[in-house]
Amino acid sequence: MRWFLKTDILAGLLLIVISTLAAFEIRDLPLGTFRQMGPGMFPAIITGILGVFGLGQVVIGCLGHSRLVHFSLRKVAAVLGSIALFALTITRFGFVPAVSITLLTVSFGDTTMGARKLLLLCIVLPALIYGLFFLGLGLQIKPFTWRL
Amino acid sequence: MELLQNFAIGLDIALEPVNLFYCFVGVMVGMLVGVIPGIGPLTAISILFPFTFYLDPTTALIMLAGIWYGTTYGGSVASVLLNVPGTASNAVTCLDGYPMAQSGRQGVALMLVALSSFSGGTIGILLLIFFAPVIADAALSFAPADYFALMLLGLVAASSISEGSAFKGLAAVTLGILLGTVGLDIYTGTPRLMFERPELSEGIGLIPLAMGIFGVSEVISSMGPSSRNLGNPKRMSLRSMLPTRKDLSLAWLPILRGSSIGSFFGTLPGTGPIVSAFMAYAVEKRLSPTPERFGKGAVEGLTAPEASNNAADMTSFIPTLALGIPGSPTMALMMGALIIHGITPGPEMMTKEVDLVWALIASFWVGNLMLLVLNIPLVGVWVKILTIPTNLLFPAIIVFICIGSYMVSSSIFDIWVVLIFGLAGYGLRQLGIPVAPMLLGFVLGPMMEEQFRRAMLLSRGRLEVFADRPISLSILLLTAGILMWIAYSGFRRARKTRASMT
Repeated sequence: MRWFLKTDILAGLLLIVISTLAAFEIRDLPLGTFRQMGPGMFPAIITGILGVFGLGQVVIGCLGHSRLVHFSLRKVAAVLGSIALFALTITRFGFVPAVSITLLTVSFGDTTMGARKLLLLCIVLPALIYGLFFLGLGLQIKPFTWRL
Repeated sequence: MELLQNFAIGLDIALEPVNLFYCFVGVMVGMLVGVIPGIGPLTAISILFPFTFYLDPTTALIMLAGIWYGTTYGGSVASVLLNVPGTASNAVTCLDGYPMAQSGRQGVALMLVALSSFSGGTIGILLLIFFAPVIADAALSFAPADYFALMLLGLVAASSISEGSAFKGLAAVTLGILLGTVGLDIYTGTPRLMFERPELSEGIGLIPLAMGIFGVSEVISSMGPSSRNLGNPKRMSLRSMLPTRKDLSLAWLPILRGSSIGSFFGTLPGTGPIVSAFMAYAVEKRLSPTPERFGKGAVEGLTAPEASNNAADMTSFIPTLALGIPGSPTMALMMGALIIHGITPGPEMMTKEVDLVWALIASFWVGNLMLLVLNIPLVGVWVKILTIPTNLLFPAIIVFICIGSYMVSSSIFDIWVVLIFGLAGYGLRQLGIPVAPMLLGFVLGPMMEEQFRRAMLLSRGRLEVFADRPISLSILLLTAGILMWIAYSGFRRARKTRASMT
C-alpha cells in the first residue's frame, strides 16, 4: 500500500489534486471565446495542462523506480511554528520577544544547537535588527509592547 | 558614439557615493553567500529583497545585481579550498582548483580564479553594452504573438535544464503560472482563485512567495548536523599567490574561449552560468593536446570555467533588460524587483530609463573590479568564515525572513504567505519538483497571459496567428522540439531506473 508514497508517483498525485482543486475553484469564471477571452480561459487551460502533467508524472512514476518520500515533521514543525509564533507575537509584544521566540522555536528542529549560542543569538540579533531597521531604515516596529 | 556616451553617463551615476556603497554591500554579501555552501544566490536575493525596498530603484538593482555576480566569485573560493562548490556554477572549478590547492598552490589557484572571473565578467559586460541596445531595437518590431512564443520557449528551456527530471520542471513551471493567475483579472476585475481574501487582489506577493519557497524551505531541508572539514588554512603571502609566467601563458586563451562560451549561453533563455562552466571545461579538455593533466590541477581547467560563468552572469541580463523576458529564475526575481519599483523592463525601458540601465551596466564593471581587489587580501577572512557552523545561520535567516516580509507591507498576511509557501516549497523539494522554475512561471505567467490575450484580440480569435508570423512560428517549432525531447528522455530515464533495479 506504500507504493503511492514514492516520490515520483506522489508528485504526480499532488499535481492532479492541485489541478482538480483549482479547476473546482474557477468553475464559475466565464470562459469567453478565443476572440474575447474571459477571465477563466487562461486559468482553465493551465489547470488542464497541469492535470495532464500530473497524469503523465504518475505514469512515469509507475514505469520507473523512485525512493519513498522523506518528510521531517520535526524540522517542519520547528520552522513553521516559529514563523507562526512570530506572526502572532510581533504586533502584540513587539519584535524583541517575537524574535527571541522565533529563534528558540527554530532551534527545536536542530539538535546540535547549544544553549549558550542560542542565548547569544537572542541578544545579538534583536540588537542588530534594531540598529539595521529602526535606526538605519527608519522602520516603525516596536521593540517592546503590550497589546493583547 | 552614443553607446560610449551612455556608458559614461551610467558610470557617473554608478560612481555616486550611495550607489558605490550599496554596490559594495551587494558584492560583499554576494561573496559571503557564495562562499558558504548551501545558500545560493536565489535564496539570498529573495531574503535581501525587502531591504532594497526603501532604496532608489537604481541603487536597489545595483545591490541585488552585486549579490548575483558576487556569489559566483565567492563560490569559487569554497570550490578551490574545500572541494565543495559554493554555488552550482562553481562545481567544475573543484575539478582542477582543489587539486591545485592540494599541491600547495592554493594562493595561485585563488588568484587565477579571481583574474579569470574578472576577465570573463569584463568581456561579458562589453557584449552587454554592444548587444543589449541592438536586441532591444529588434524587439520593438515584435508582435504579442512573438513575445508569447519567446516566453514559452524561455519557460520550456529553463525547465529542461533544471535539476531533476525536466518533466517535473515543466510541471513546476505550470504550477507557477497557475499561482500567477491569483488575483483580480486585469481586464474584467473578476477575482480569480482569491479564496475570499482581499489581500490577494494584486496577486500573491513575489517577495513572500520567494522567501517562502526558497529561504524557508532551504532552511527546513538543510537544518541539522553538518560536517565540514576545512583542513588547515595556512596564511598566504602575496608572493605565494602570484601565478608564474607559464601559468599566465596557459591561461589567457582558455579565458578568452571560456568568456565567449559563457557570453553565448548567458544570453540564451534557460541556460546560464552553470551550463556555461561545464561547457567551457569540456571544450578545454577536448582542445588540449594533453588532456590527462585535467583533473590534477590544470590551469586551463581552472580558468576557463571561471571566466565562462562570470561572463554568463553578465550576459544573462541581456534578455531581461532588452526584451523584458528573464532567462532564468534569478533573472525573474531581478525583474520582479524592477516591477515592484515601478519600472517595466523591456525595449521601452532601454530608451526611456536610459540612466537606470546604463548605471546598472556601469555598476557591473565597478562591482567586478571591487571583487577582484577584495578577493586577494580578504582570502584569509573568507577561510575563517567557512568555519562558522551553518546551524547558527539558519535561525537568523528565519528571523530575517519574518522581519523582511512584515516590513514590506506591514501586514501579517504576508508572513502567513511565507509560512504556507515554506511548507509548499519543502514538500515540493522532497517530491523532486524543482522550485526555481516555479518562480519563473509565476513571474512570466501573467505576462504570457497578457500577450496571449492581446494576440487573440488582434487576430480576432484565430489561433493560427502564431503560425502566420515567421518569428513566432520558428520559436514555437523550437519549443515543440525541446518538449518532445523532454518527453522522450523522461520516459527513457524511467525505463532505465526500472531496469537497473530488477
